[in-house]
Amino acid sequence: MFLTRHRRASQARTRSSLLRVSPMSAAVLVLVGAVLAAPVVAASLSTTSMTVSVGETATRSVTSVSGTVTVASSNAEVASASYRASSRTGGTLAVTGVAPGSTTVSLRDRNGTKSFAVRVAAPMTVTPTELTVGVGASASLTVANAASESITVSPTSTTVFAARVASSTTVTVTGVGVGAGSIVVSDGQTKVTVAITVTAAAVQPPIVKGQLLASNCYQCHGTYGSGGFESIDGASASEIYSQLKSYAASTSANSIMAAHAAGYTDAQLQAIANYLSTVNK
Amino acid sequence: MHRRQFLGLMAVGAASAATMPALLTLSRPGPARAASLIPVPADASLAGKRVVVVGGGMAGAATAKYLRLWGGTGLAVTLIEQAPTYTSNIMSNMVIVGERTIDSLAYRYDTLTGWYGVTVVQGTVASVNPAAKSVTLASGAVYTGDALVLAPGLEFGSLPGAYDVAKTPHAWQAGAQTVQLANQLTAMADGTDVVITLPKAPYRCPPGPYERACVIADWLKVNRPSSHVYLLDANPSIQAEAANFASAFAGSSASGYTVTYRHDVVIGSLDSAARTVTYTYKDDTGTVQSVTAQPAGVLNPIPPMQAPPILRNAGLCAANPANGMAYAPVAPLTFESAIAVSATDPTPRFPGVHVVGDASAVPAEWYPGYTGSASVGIPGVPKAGHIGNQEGKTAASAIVRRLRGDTTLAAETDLVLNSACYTPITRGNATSPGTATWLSAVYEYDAPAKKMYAAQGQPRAASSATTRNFSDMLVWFNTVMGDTFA
Ligand SMILES: Cc1cc2nc3c(=O)[nH]c(=O)nc-3n(C[C@H](O)[C@H](O)[C@H](O)COP(=O)(O)OP(=O)(O)OC[C@H]3O[C@@H](n4cnc5c(N)ncnc54)[C@H](O)[C@@H]3O)c2cc1C
Ligand code: HEC
Repeated sequence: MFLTRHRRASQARTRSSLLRVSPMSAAVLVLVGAVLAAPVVAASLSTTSMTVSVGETATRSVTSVSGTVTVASSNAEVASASYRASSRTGGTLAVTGVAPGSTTVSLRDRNGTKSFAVRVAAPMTVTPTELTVGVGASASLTVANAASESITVSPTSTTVFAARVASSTTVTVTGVGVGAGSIVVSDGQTKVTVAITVTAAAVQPPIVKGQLLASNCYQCHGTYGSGGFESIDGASASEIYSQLKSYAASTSANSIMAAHAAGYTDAQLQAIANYLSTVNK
Repeated sequence: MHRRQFLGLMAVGAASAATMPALLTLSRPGPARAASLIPVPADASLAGKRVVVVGGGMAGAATAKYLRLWGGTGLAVTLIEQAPTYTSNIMSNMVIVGERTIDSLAYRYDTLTGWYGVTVVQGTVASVNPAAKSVTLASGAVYTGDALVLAPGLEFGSLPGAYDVAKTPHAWQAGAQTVQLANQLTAMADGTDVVITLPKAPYRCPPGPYERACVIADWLKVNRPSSHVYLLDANPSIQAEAANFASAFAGSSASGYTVTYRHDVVIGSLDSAARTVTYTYKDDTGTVQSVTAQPAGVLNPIPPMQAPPILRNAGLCAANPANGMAYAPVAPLTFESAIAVSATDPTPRFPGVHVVGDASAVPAEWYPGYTGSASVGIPGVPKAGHIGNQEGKTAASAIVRRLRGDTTLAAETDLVLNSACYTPITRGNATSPGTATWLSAVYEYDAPAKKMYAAQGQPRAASSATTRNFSDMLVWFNTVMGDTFA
């Protein structure tokens, strides 16, 4: 799904960017700019290199051409190259990244051949591309291979979620209201759409009443009442409660359980009994 | 419920108190216990959140375990502990008198890491930045959390005179000093005395020094019959279980030994090399008496103790007027630092920074109209391991609820903390089991005062030293350690 969407986006970009240097890629602009400053004469082309992203097309002008120009990429599965004449002596060379890897592009006219290395960088990826988050909870998207330090996300807030760029590799999404929507993460070259679903039932156990109160018993009866002096988990609430009440009322002078139970209010004993009857079942 | 099974096990353990193999296996995390381990719920809702816990003792280890149990698999918990294993202070008096080995008190962090998924980092925290909720290790590594829990225990101070802890170990933090003190006792000549001093409250484990006096006196009775124990107490009276200890010190039928107990002791000077102590005390008529250079065969000064420098230097502490020592004041419901923004603004200055265990100071009081005997216990939340574990659970619960955005937390008033100490009075031998007493206390939250108070009729102490209490003591010890480390 991701691949299909990505390919469609890159085809659109190839069509529109042939005529100009893509303003989106700062890195490529610098490299191509250097070449533009010293217009290429096939016979005197200085050795250079170029980096493009997958789906991106970088262009540069060629001058002082003599005769017919042909261009070739040594590995067309990594990058393709084409030349379009604008006059008899000049035109535009376009290199389009196809897949991550390296290739050599050669330009040939009557006077000779010039070659330069092209590296095609992997496109930005965002994982996951489908996210489920509870209302009030947050989750992160991880961004890799971004072409620039400043990634953007849109929209940043809807009635369903709020999204925020936390760093150059992380986007945080917080659930606002139940529903579904999507965000687009962009590094200026690649756009990735992430589907967001916000669920009402937060995927978390509720904080149960009695959880902390009952944990007072675990130093003597084991974690969650599972052992120690006696296991006290899993019996019915009324059974545990009535035992606690009789301990609390006991005047036995040498029973630590009686001394302990006497320290709670009736409501607390009830909450503890209810909680312990539900654990470890 | 398995009482009968347990008693069966206990019989084996109690009969061979010196080695207690069956019980020791129970106290260690291992495959035999795996069936009762509670799984961490597969709940990723707190993914991306991290809590940093400093100190893997009674309070810190319990905090880390319960953060995972209640926070679920999504919550990252990092526990920073300087030692590779924890040595329990509880039961360490039994090492001094040869009833247990120090190794039998060692607890590993395997179960916290392997089962509960806590990330344990072995390292020493050098400084705390409470505003950033971060800590810096001696190695330079920095750990930052959405919440920070500090549980580093206590630092031991000095005493007047030529005091040298290397010569007269306090053994109030179990480990090498405990073994050293045990060796000093074994090397002691019959007819020389054991002199123990204890500092003004609050100190770690209120009944602990009295317990130590008892088990050593019980050991002398058999092994150095002409020797005697002196307990020099800086406090005006016995600080916990007064009736039980007073009766044991006086040579009750249960104890069969005596201990000379002196109160209101002010140490003038103490010489660790010469093993002498010069001090004043109040006799029972209230008259001040002085003693010059009392000699000891074994001198065991327990110095005053306070929160360690990493807390004091971070501005988290305040001096306790009772003993001049500094501890970290906390709000009971969350164990969050109660240090205020300023003298005029009581808002907590370091939200999200929690202090649990002995380093903390919990505001506490007797309940209004208390009519019981104050001599049975102590009028505050004690510095002790059983309740330190509960403080850890309280902080863990508050942190998880805050991270989940639970708004009922602020309205919560239903907090209970409980403390329990079992105290050996006699050690037992091949033919008769030992005897022990206990002290139990339940503290309730007083919402208007924002303090803990000992609930009606609390604390309560055992009515007498019994053999049943002695075997219960071992069940309790294994269970509280299991609830903390396994
Ligand atoms: C003889 C004796 C008997 C006792 N009997 C009882 C009893 O019967 N019942 C009871 O409830 N209590 C008892 N206690 C008290 C109990 O042992 C302590 O109160 C308890 O251990 C305190 O827990 P804590 O987590 O605050 O500190 P500790 O258990 O001391 O743990 C602190 C941990 O932090 C680590 N640490 C410290 N500083 C750093 C740092 N800078 N970086 C990294 N790690 C650090 C330490 O290595 C240690 O592991 C007894 C104590 C003694 C001495
Ligand atoms: C300080 C240790 C201690 C604590 C803390 C403690 N108990 Fe107990 N409990 C005991 C002992 C010891 C016994 C066995 C009592 C006896 O035999 O008389 C016991 C027995 C019981 C029993 C009876 C079990 C049976 O099958 O007969 C129940 C129920 C119980 N406790 C519940 C609790 C609950 C609930 C809590 C927490 C609110 C708690 N206990 C906290 C020590 C403790």
